[in-house]
Amino acid sequence: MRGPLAEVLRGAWRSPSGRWGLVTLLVIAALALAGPLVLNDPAAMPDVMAGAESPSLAHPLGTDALSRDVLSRTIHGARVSLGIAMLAVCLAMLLGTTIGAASGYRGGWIDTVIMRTVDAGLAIPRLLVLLLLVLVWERIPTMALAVVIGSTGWLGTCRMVRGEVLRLRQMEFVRAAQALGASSGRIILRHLIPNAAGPVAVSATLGVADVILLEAGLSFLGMGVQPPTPSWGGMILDARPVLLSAPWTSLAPGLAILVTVLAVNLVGDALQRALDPRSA
Amino acid sequence: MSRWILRRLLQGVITLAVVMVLLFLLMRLTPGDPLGGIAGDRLMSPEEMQLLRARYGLDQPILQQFMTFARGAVQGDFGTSIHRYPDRVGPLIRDRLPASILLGGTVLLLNFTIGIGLGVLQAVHRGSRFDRWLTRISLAAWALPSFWLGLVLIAVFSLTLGLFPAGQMQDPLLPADAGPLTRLVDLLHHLALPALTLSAVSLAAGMRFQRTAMLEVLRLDFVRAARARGLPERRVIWVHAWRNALSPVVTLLGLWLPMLVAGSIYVESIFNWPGLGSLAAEAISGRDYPLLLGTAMLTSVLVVAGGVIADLGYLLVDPRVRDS
Repeated sequence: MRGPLAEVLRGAWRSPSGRWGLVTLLVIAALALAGPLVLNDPAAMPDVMAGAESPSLAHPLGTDALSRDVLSRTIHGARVSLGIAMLAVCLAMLLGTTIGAASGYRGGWIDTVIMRTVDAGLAIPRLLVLLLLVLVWERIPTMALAVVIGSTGWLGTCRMVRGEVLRLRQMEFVRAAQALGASSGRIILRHLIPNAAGPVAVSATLGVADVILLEAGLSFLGMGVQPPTPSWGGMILDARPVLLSAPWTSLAPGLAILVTVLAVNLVGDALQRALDPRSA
Repeated sequence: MSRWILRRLLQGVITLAVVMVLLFLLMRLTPGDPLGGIAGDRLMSPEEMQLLRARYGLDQPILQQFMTFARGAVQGDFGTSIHRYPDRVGPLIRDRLPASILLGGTVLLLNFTIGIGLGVLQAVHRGSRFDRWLTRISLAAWALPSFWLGLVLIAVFSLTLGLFPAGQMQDPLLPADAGPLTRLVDLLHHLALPALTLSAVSLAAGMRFQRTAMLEVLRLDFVRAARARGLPERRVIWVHAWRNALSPVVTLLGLWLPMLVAGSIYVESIFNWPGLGSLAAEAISGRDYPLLLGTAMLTSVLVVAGGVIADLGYLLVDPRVRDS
């Protein structure tokens, strides 16, 4: 692999913390993909009257207040959480990159209008925007949740890509392409965006961490992933009444969030350092 | 320079005007109308629904709805709450401000003293075991969901050890004739856990910013010159170097201004702290969109104001910005 993006990825892999993060993420992804094949049904309630049971051989992380297997629900939660994060971040990056590049390349009043809107959008806390959007649903479908989260996450990327494009636009290889008669679309897609791929990769990685925390928070408030679909935030919400009598029900999803987000941040950090060695 | 300040202020006002349009559009972009969620929540006849829509002006033409919204928003009036009908949104928010400012102010105080201090020390001892571990801990703190950390602290410090109360702002059993000192101690006792939770997840930002800024300054010649003149190391760091690495303090002041006033939905609702955050949490469960709109608008005003304040602050601390 060659090109600026590959260089940044290689740089991230060279740093020990970046490698730790990537390996941890791969393990979590593998668990999320393979786990459900061998684990108990996360929705099964074999003995509702028994209440939460402490960890045992049959249930390595115990069961929750409805006698559902906590390990199985945590791993299914990884599937939901990572799935939403990937979908939302892909959408956000797609929107941010195209709008930002087009805005920066076109310039003029369109650029002014778009950037003013982005500034204003960034001033409204994302959690409140999401809450206002989700409020109209009685029970929001998981897919819609991912789209809603993604469609609120592109503003920062848009501003960053626009800045990159403004810088690159002055460079000789872009001038040369223009002189050769390449169309704006071609210049944006073939010349500008590939050269902004490094910063976009950083902002995508940090975006994944944001989305995981946001989704968990929304689910904790009851406005995110709807039961019975298992989600880490929802599990913590369910665990609140049995905080002391069954601590494993809240520890498992909480630590899952912590480890996943930490791993993502380690990768993001390593990418950033590879991109800009001065920031270390 | 006063022209520049004026332009920056004007820019803030324009941003807020666009925020208003965005917030209004946000309510209209969604399928159905803002009352859609309520219809599913409660048993309501179509007539009752129609009445409710009329009460919130949702049967008016869209342009008129926007004018009503904008005129109110400029005056800080967001109409009537749904969940707490017939209270108005403005006074509801105003009543909750003091508690949030108290919590936010405490957190900011902790962050600015401890966070900034640790950041400077990290930069001075760059690469040491202290620096490496603090960096690791702050990365982990970034990844902590505040609602989970709050629950863990409640489980450990109030439910198990009984050291701190698990919620509220005041002991309900406090005698009515308690002196001011007793009241203050009681308040601080209740403040400890929520402040610790919020600070733990936000302090890391201060540490990181300050570490980076300080590292850049410590490389410069004048620091070496100060050391060469034989000045005590403490003076070199805190007087000479730090004074030139103040920009993170300004940045964070702008960034954290919303936190000072608007509070945190998660932490306040977990600790039953009677501030804006728990009001917003109530608004969510009551599907109270005017109340949430009011909260969002107030927070956005603070975000924009924070940006303006930070930009003006750079003028104060950095002569290079002042002259350009």
